[in-house]
This record gives sequence, C-alpha cells and structure tokens, in this order.
Amino acid sequence: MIDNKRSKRLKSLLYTVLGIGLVIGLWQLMALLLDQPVIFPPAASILSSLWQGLTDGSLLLRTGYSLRLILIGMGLSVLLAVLLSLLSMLIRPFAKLSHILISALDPLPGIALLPVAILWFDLGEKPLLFVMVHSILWPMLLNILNGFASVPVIYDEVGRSIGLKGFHLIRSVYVPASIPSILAGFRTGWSRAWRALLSSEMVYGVIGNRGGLGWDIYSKKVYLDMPGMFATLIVIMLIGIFIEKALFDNIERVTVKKWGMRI
Amino acid sequence: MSLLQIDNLSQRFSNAGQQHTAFSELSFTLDAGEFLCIIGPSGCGKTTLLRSIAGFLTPSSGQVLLNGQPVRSPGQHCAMIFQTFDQLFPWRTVLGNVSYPLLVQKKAANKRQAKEQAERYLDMVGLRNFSSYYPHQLSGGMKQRVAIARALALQPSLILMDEPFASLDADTRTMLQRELKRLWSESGLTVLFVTHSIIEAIALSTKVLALGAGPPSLRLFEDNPVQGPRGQLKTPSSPGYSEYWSKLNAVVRP
Amino acid sequence: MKKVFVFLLILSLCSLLTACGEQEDPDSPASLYLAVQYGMQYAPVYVMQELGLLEEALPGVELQWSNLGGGSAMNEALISGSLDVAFMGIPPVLIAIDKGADYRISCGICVPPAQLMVRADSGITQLSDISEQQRIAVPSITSIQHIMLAMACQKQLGDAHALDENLVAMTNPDAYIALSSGSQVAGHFASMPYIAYEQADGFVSILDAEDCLGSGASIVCVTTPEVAENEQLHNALLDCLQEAISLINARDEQVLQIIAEREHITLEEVETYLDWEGSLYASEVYSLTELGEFMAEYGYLSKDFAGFSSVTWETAVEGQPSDAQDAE
Repeated sequence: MIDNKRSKRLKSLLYTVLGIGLVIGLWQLMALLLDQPVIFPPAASILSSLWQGLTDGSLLLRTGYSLRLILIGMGLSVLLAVLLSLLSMLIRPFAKLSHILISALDPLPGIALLPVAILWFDLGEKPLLFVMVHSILWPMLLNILNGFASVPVIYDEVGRSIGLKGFHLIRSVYVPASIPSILAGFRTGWSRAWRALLSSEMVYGVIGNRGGLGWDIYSKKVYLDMPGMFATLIVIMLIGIFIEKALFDNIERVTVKKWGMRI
Repeated sequence: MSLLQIDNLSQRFSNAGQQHTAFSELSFTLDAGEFLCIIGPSGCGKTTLLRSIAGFLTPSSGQVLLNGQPVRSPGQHCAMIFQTFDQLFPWRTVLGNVSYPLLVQKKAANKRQAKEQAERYLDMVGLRNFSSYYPHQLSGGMKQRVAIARALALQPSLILMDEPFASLDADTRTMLQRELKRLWSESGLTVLFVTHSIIEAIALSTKVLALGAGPPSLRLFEDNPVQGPRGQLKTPSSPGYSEYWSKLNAVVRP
Repeated sequence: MKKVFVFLLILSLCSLLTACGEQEDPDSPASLYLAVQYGMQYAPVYVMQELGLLEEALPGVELQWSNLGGGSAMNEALISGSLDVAFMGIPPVLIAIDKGADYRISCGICVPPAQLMVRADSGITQLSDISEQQRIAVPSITSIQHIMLAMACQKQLGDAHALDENLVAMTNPDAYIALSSGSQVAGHFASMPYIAYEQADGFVSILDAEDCLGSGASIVCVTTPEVAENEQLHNALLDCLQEAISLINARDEQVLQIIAEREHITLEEVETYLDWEGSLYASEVYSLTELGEFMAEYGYLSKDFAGFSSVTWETAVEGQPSDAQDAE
C-alpha cells in the first residue's frame, strides 16, 4: 500500500520533470529555428536570467512585495465578504442589496478603477489595495452567497431541528456545507488579485512604496529585456502552481474530498 | 395531561394563487410511551402534519400543544428523523454527527461527555466500530441508524420519523424496523412515525392515525388492535392482522 | 500538462508561419505601416497626414496609420514586424538597437520643450529638495523625460539613479490631474501643452531640457532597413516631413488650423505653444550623442555607444546646440 503510493508519487514526479524538460527543449528548438532573440529568447538565457534574479535576490524581493500586498488584499476581502454574507443571510433586504452590488460592480475591471483610486487615495499601497479588494470581493461574495443558496434544505432543517439558529446555524451548517463554492470563490479571488496587482503596476509603474512583479515585468519590457520578462512570468506561474498544489489542493483534500462532497 | 395535543389543526397553502388544503380540523391526543403510525396516500398531508408538530410550519388555524405548551419553532422538544440518507452532516464523522447536537442542546457538559454518550447510542444501533467514519463511507441503512442514534441520544419527549425506511431495500428495512421496535420498548420513548405502508404501520404501531384522501369524517384514529409480544414486530401471523389490514386499506385507498 | 504542450506547439507553428509570410518584394511595397503618438511634438507627422503629402508623393502605396501610446509600444511593433515607420523619442530607439534591433533613425521632426513642474507651495526648488515620499511623474520608464531626469540627477546629486524610487509612470493627462489634486505626485516632467496648463495653474518649473542635456532632444523618425534601402520611398518620406516642418515654421494658416483641431485648442494657443521657449521644429537630430553616451555609461544600455552613425541612416543630420539657439 505504502510502496504503491510512493511509486505513484515517483511516477508523477518523473512525468512532471519530463514534461518540463520537453517544454524547455521545444522552446530552445523554436528559439534556434527562429533566431530572433528579442522575440523568442533562447531557453538558456531565460533560465540564466531566472537564476540571476533568484540569486541576487531582486526577483525574490519583488515576489515578496507582491505576495505581501496580495495577502493583505485577500485578508481584507475575506473579512468584508464574511461580513456582507452574514448580513445578507441574517437580514433579508440586505441580500438583495448585495446581489445588486455584485451585478453592478463585479463586471467593472479593477484596472479601470485605478485612476479613480489614485485620486481618492493618492499613490502608495492604498489604491492598489482598493483595486485588489474590488477585484476579489465581488466574485468571492457571489460564490459564498451562491454556496449558501444551494445548501440542501435538509441540512438547514436538521440544523434547526437540533436547535441551531441564526449565526450558529450559518457557522455550523451553511459554512461547512458551502465549502466547495467558498473554495471556488477563494480561487477566483486569488487569481483576480494577481491580475489586479500586475496590471496596475504594468500600467502605472511603481505605485506602492516598492515595485512588485508587475513593475518587474514593466521595467523589463521597456528595456526590452525579454529573457528577464519570461523569467518573471515563470516565477508567477510557479507561484500559481505552488498555491494551487500546496494550498487549495490540500484544503480540498482535508475537507470536501474527505467528506465525499463534490459540486 | 397527555403529552401531545392536536387541536382543530388546519394547514392551507397558497400556490400561484391557488388555495390548497393539506388537511383541516384535525384533532387528537397522544400519551407518552405510545408508538403512533400516521398512514395515508401521498398528498394526504401526513408529512405536513409531522412538520407542523416539529415546528417547521405555523398552523393556518388550530394549535399543537406539547406538554401543554404551544409549539412555535423547531428545537429541543422533539427530534426529527427524515427519509433522505443525506440527513447526516457530511463534514462530521459518525460520532460527531451524534455528539454535536448533544453539545448544541447542552445535554452534555463537555466534549468528552458528549463523546461517551454518543458512543453509547452508537453501540445501541450497532455502529460503535464505525464512529470515526464519514457519512459518505456508510450504506443507506447505516446512515439511517446513525440518524436514529442521533435522535435517541438527545432523549427528546417526542421522536418524529418521516418515512425513515422508505428508501431502503426490503431486508434492511425489516431489520431496522425490528431494531426500532426494540429500542422503543427499551427506552420508553414516544414515537410519531409517518409511513405509506400499511404493513409497516401495523407491524410497528400501538396507535394508528389513518388519513384518507376523503373528508375528515373518514379519518381513523384508534389503538392498533393487532396484538403481539412487546418490543417485537407484528406479522401477518398475528391474530386479527388481515382484518385490520383490510380496514386500513379501505380508509387509505377508498 | 498536455494542454501546455498543445498550446506551445500551436504557438510555435504560428510563429513559423508568420516568419515565412514576412518576405515581400522590397522594391514596390503595396502598403506602408506608420505609427505616431499623441501631442504637439508629432505635429509634422499629422500635418503631413492631413495634407495628404505622402499619398501624393507615393502613388500606389497604401498608407496604414496607427496611434501607439509610447516608445515601448513602438519598439514592440517594430520588432514584431508590424510597423515600417515609427515616430518616437530617442532613448527607446537606443535601447532597441542595443538589444539588436535592425531599425535606425532617419531624421528628427521636433525638439519639444520639456520641463519638470512642481507645486509652488511644495518647497521644492531643486532636485535635492525632493523627499522620499514625493513622486515625480514621467510618461514612462525609458522615456526621454526619465532619461533627462536621470542626467540632471547625475549632474546635481551625483547619482543618476537617485530618484529612481520616486518615479511613477503616468500619461500626461493623468499626471496633470494627480499633480493638481494635491497628491503625493509632487512633480511632473511634462510636455506641451501640459507645461502651459500647469504653468497657468500656478505650478513652477524647476528643471528643463537645457539643464539636463545642454539642449533639447529630438523626437525622431525611425525606419526599418526595408524602408531605408528603398531610396525613392525613403526620400519621399523625408521630403514630406521636411515640407510639413517648413509649413509649421512658416506658420501656414491651414497648418495652424490642422494643429488646433488635432489638439482641441484655439489658434492663439497653437501660436503660443509653437513659440514656447525650447520648442523647435527641425529635421536635424539633436542630443543623440549626449543621450547615447550617458545611457551607455550609467547602465541604461548594455554595450558602449558607438556614435551617431551607429544608430542612424545616412540621411540623418546631427543638430548642433548653437543652431537650436539661433533658431529661437
């Protein structure tokens, strides 16, 4: 049983390594065929730029800065989403208001709000956080409310018949029963946060006190440092894969998968 | 004073402007320790009646009195067991499903005590070894047993069961009926059991409420005349079985 | 993982196909792709465009115009092969050539005024007064304004990168709003007509092109080798630009009208802005060598600057600062 698991893991690791190797090989082949290093930089120069950025700390610094802002943005959004969803569940008219807000504001791209945010909050981290919270909050709230709305009636009735009411009913029945859609909300929020942060920095350059990964791409772009740009894109992809595998997959494993719940 | 008193109870719904009467002017009383089966064809209002007693529905007129107190909302006065296998919380283990309500209703002082009490009732339904399982790992019959253990553990004045065995296969159903009857006789509980099966009603009950599709005058509320050893199911070999079956059949399917 | 492979394969095939499709007959191009940016410093281009000068000179060639938002976008379009002629500031051209791009400068079109405007009450009278929290808006990183600021920093503060952390990239209108709203943006390295707007609103200039460079720097016309090697085409383009420049310098009625309409300003404003100190419309290329040497020395370029002729076609004439002063 354990051996079986281990060999499965080894196999999947092998496939991953082979896959990455094949991608790098294909890329290198294309770069050689095209021979236009500015458009299609060779894999070796991308990897060496990546290595340099990681070893001299510049990429790590920018990554840290972006991650810090994203975590603050996510934290604020979760707080607001929890507050708004509780109010919507406990006060009927508030649910309508929430849905109106979502349908009015969710389609509005965060980057379109940035000029306004800069006017309101000045430069610095505040307009970035504002744009990020705007980008995360509405899809997250929508997912939570949809999750609550699609909780099977039977759980509500069982909960009420054992004596749960109001906030306790939401916390002990509605929240666990909606975990699949709450997780979906977190996933959407997470990717929206990245998009908001990177695109803001790519339009305005440094807005916060120090530049993050969006600024990194922007400055490499204007200096036509294509290998560096691809190196940053790789870092962003790696973070995405890591968060997906290490965070969301694990949360799913100890919750919905263990409980036999599927959407 | 009787445990449960139903006074001139009516339930009407309006659906798309259409008035629909589930049942009207229903009255009966029930003493503690009885096993009442409510039987009738689909749409006769038996589930609606059960939900009114549970407090999920507010009566259109009349009232439900439990220990002399009107029932207004669901809660601690009675425990409900539903037909669906999904009535267990999938995010809690078997043990958690039984012990958690004990904590909510403060029927256990702490987690350890709740766990001990829950284990005792899981033992009663024969699921002690499955206490760390999650509901999705259980069969339908096992899930219904957990639901029964959950209800029993709360020691409510009244247990309401809404066709709990209707979705089970015949063998499992008979087995669970037998166990329920045994548990009832051992614990002295009062049970209200909704079913559409005349056989199940005769086998389990001490009292029968038969609701027909016809006018209220055709209702029947009486002691189950078929006798059998206490704590055991009544079978077609019990005296008076076939006559009573025909009588109930005439009310339920005129 | 499979999806990534398929995606990369498709990507590769697409790029191979476009690479093959680029071969055209160089002698008679059916169409010419040109891109211009917004602002009065591009007046010779849109005057040429409105008057149809190039159409007249190049019958049978279809002109495809587009508007791009900065030198970086110009570089991307030129490198990807979707552009033949671009009008832009000098620094992005130097960066592209440094990275191996094969296009060069054909001529200049204008030396625009450039001034660093600050709020009068900000207490800033020189670069050393700018605090860590105060931001300077420039149109983009590697824009001529950015490099000029770096040169001034080198001269006044001894460090070309002294204000790098204070920079924020904003378009001229955004920066104007930010400066006016009393925000962290304490300074705006502006071009026309925003210098005039900001001056009218009471903002003051603490730095101009001359402080940084000794003279203004040209907006240039950049062409690909295919265009430059086609003598007839190249000469026609240069002649038409020269004609537009002459018309502007002669303050031709019709031309002033065109500028007024394009910029949404009055005829008086057009004249004021054309006469603005430091503004010069000329086909010579000014300050190229100074910029190249500075950018190479302070790390904006990866290689040494190999001189004026290494980044220009033979048609380009180096402007002398004294000429520029004479012209005023």
